[in-house]
Amino acid sequence: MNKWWLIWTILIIGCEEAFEYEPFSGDELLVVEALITNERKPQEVHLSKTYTNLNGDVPRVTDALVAIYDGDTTIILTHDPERPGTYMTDSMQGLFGKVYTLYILHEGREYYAQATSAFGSPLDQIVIQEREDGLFQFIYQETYEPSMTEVIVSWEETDSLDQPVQERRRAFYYTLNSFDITSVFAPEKDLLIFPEGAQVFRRQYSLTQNHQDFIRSFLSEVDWRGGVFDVNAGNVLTNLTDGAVGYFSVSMVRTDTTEVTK
Amino acid sequence: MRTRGLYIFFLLICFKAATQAQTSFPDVRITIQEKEKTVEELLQIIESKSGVSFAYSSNYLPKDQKISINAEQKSLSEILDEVLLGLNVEYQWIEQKVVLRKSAEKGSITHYTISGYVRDKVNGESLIGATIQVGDSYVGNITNAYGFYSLTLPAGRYQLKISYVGYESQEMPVVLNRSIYLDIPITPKFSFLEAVVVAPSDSNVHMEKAISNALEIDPNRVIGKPTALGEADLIKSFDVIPGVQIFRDGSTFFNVRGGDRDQNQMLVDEAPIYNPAHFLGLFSVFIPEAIKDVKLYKGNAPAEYGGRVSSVMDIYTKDGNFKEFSLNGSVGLVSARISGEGPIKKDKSSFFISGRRSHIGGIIRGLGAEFDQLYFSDFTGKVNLQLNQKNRLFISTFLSKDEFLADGGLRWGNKAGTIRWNHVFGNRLFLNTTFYTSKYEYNLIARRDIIWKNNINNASLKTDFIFYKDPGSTIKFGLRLSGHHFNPGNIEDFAGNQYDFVPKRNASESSLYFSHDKQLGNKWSLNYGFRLSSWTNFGRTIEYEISEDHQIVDSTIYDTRASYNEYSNLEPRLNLTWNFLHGHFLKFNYSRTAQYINLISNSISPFNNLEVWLPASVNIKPQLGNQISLGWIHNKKKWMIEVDAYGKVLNNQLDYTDQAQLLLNPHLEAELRAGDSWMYGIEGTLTKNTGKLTGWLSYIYSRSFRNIPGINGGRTYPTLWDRPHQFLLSINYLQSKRLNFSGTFLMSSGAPSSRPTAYYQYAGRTVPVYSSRNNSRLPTYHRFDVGMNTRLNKREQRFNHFLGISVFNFYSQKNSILESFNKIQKTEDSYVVPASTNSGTIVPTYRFLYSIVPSITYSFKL
Repeated sequence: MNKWWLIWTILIIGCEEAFEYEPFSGDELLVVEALITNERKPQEVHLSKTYTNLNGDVPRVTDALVAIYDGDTTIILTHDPERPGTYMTDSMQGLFGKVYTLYILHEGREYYAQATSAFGSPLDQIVIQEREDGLFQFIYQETYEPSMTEVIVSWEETDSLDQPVQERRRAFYYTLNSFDITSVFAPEKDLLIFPEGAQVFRRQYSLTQNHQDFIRSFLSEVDWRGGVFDVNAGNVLTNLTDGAVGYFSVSMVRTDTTEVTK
Repeated sequence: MRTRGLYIFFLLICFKAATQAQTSFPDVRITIQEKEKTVEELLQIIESKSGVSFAYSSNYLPKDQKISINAEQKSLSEILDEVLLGLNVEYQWIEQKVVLRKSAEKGSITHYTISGYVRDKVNGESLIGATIQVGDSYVGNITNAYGFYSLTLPAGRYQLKISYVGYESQEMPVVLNRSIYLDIPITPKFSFLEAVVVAPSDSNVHMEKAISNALEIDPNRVIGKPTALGEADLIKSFDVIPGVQIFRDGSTFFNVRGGDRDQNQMLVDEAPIYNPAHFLGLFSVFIPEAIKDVKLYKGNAPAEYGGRVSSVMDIYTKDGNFKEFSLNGSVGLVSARISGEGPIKKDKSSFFISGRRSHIGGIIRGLGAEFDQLYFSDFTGKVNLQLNQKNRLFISTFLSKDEFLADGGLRWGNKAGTIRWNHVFGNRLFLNTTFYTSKYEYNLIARRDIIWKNNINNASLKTDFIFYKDPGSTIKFGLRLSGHHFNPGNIEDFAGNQYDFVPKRNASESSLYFSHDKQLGNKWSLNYGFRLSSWTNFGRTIEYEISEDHQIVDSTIYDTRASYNEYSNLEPRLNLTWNFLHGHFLKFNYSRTAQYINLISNSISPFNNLEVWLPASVNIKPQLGNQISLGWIHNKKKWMIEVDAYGKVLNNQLDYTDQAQLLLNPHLEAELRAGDSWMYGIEGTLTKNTGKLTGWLSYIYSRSFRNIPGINGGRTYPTLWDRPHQFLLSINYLQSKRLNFSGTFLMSSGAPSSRPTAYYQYAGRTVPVYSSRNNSRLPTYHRFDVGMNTRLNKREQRFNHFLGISVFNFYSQKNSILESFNKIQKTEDSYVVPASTNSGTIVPTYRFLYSIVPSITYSFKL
């Protein structure tokens, strides 16, 4: 819908400007970001807290007790001091059909969340398009089943001192079964552009209906807000209890890696 | 006994003598032409001309009343009948004299009715809301929606005063010695540059007009008002009306006294219009040149109106010129408009057609944008047939359409058609019967060749009676039957296959009303009435059973035409006016209104989008509104002061859960939450209606709150349109008959906005947390617009052409319409949503619509 932005900009004469505002003060909430996949690896749970300055530092939670119960066994996660706020299992694999329960004990309060996974659909052929300026961009193709696609692109660039610098970009794309006017007329989004020779690592996650509902609400606030058809602001959904925010999910993942060539 | 016998004999003799005297009344014919004489003076002149003597007492003849008479060779009795008309004096021929004496029986006064239409003298157009006043008294009448009036008065001679906004006031002597039909032509002021005012009422405020609660909006004023891009716009002109707020810049949504935008009823020739927006709301659908009359009721509408709890905007289109053909048009930056009208048969029937089409798409294409369609268009047409003195027929149509297509896009439009028949029974009972159909449709043409379609269709038959009992008493009653069909947004492919995710709804609505305008002496005026409305849902549809925790627990399918749910409401109305001092009026109003349809939208954007209409049904109760207001009007010759205080409580108000999914959601009703809202405020206006400089100055304090269980943690929160302080200034300066300047200044508290109270990181993105709804405000809104209109030809003639120049937002104030907290700066003046995670500093941004907007419009009248 990029054409709309040109039409709209011409039509409405005005534009967009930055402003400053005084942050509110509020309670700190526990933030949980936890995703178990069917990949055999150490699974991660990230814990942090909310903060009031828009670009403020993220307070990491390093002293929580975190466990995952898969219906048979309970796995206690250990905190990784190298990456504050990250809790890890030993190498394990999330299984389709199992119900997983996340348990967190922090500052005397207990938090729970439950999740299961959808099966998902196979990966389609990746589409990477060369641009007029010789760079490349990833073209997202919607999938048959609802999904979340993570794209990690890495390449080597030279900085101003002509030193090689490793560049890495990570972006997410989604296929949801919901329909929102704010997504159709979403604000302009920056492009993920990379040079020839870049490595494109793609991971496609299956989504349950609850996970989709969470992602829809997440996108409403982070991607779709600021368009011409904005809707009431509202908190992103969560499956955590007791006032925590964030989401705990289980997904089946398909991956591929592509080297960008002409 | 003997004495009594003599007495009876004497009476019989007298009676016989009197009878003989009557029968031998002198057969004298005289010619008399006199102006402005008292009755006594006239009797003396008649005496001298006829040679007949009169005997009377001066006590029962009016001393101040001046009478004019023009009689040629009329009999003495005919002349006396005319002179003594309405004086409650009778005459007899006794003892060779004409003896005048007071009528013995009070009940013997004969009443006659004068009725007809008040019309524009130039084009024959009937005038709605013209005042017909009897002398300087408070006795009078106001023409109804078809220009009809009826006054029943004792036989007599009267001086009628006819006044109407934008017209020369006129006085007319009437001798009422029989019921008469009288069309009254009045002369319009010379041109559209004449200063006319959007004001609570004109300077000759009549008590009945004072209690009408209607704001009369002159279409000429709308044309002359400076607007964005110079496009004359009825709804945008509301931004200077106290108690009415345009939602944000670029919007056709408006809020009246703290009510929601779906609580405003918009009627064009009695048919409802559901979306008045062109170009997503930058312009509205009403062609100003096609409008004859607009009335806006800010609540407290009379009993004949119903169906919306906040306001009624009642628009009547022009009937067409009865006298001659005329053409007018205009070209501006956005669109071109043309209107044509004329008689089909002179003074008997007429037509009016008007069309508008935008050309801004061509300009945008020229600036490099590619698209398939980008335009809006309107058409208004009417045929008016005066079948005879008692019967009139109107056939009218209203069409509006927008296409906004580029790789898919949006298309929406309104269609309405009305047939109305007016009939006058006798000369005091007016009947109007209307049949209308209307349709509103909104489409999103999306990817994969699918169309999202949402529409609402209606058909209605209504009959309204107005009985003009006497000048101080008018009774209105009527009945309406309507059918509604709602498609709350479903998918259709290009082959026409429909996929109904969201259940369609059908309903029938019936209402009957009664109201009585009653003048209680010279000081008090009362209007009371009621409306009894009922609503019935019927199949074929699916209704879901929703549990207390808003989960769908069951569903029921209802067959075609099977009724399954009913609501009915009694809606009393009361208006009381007290003229406690000369020129001072106190008004008290109470109204209760039921609303059975709801606009389902959680949009905070000023622009209209894929909103759907849903009716009251099993899970949605009808909205109910109770409003009281107390007003004071002080009307002087040049100035008018009006202060209105109001309070309003609305029940069964809908709001939406966080992140509610409203489109293509079969369980849409589970996303809704119902509660109450309440509003209060005070509006003060000082108006100057006469002279070269006219205008008004208003200050409004108003609040609007909601409390809806399940929203905002159950805490009360301000509505999106709660803007406590508002200051309005509108001025118009008529430099000469050719040149007019206008200016408006608006300032109001910023609209509420929900700002994040905290943030967190998830998947490398910054996610906002909101602790309460509408917890902050956009910056204070203010704007100054100026305009100039001039007639290009020096003298008014058959062909007149005009030039309008305006500067909207003169000092280029950047008024915020939306805020966001999710963008990064891409270039110096552009902000985008980041493509990848951890992309840099997030910048709070706001959007504004207009900087300074100069415009020029050329128009002509032929």
